[in-house]
Amino acid sequence: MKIVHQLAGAAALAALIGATGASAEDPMITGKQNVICASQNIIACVDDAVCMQGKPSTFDMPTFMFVDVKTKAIRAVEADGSTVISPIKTHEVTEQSAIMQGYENHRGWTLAVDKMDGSFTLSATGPDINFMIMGACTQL
Amino acid sequence: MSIRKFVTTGVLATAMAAPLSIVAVPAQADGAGAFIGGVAAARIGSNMRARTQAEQQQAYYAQQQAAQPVQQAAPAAPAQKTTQQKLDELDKLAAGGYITPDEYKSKKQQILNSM
Repeated sequence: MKIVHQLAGAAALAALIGATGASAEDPMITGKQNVICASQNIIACVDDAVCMQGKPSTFDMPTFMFVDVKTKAIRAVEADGSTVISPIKTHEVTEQSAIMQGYENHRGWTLAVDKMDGSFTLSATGPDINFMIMGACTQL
Repeated sequence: MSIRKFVTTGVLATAMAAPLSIVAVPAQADGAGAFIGGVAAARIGSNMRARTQAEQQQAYYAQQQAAQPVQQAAPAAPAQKTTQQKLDELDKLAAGGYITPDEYKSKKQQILNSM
């Protein structure tokens, strides 16, 4: 009788782990939940084909940005505490990535977040400047 | 879980949540500026232009310094006499009776050896 109880307990535990435990195959980002992203590297080129690479601090840029897929906005907090926002116009989740796009001030941008490892690339183009921000996101 | 571990976990969780709560402000807050196509583009652009300008200025000053005439060179050393000049001088000394034939012969050999 004691053995039967032990076996039942082990089976229940295994079922619980199977139901809640994340396997290595599970994506880190679903694309449908909010994420926070840390910028690590920026490459930018201005109108006269001069390009530069650096950390966010090199360009006085905020390091973190909050991607709110529910209210469709990307936000960052400036050093002075003010918030800046970019509305997300389109949001698509593919097998590999979560892709968001938007435009402001004649500049278009695309944010692609890799669902498996959380790495992201944000590229923005405009008539006077093109830049790319790379980093990593984690789901909230 | 021990009390110490529980407290440590709680402190860590609070510390990690703090920056998120700062960022998680309501969407489309009144007066908020554009981020990617606005502030980011403008700031990256102005930083790049400022740096490029500084680099160009530095290169200009370096070029100016390189173009400046070299400081006045040290006075040139007196020109060395040629072998012929030395022999002529030696002949004059011998002809004038200032040196003996032996001295003339010895000095002449010395001059010729130095060629």
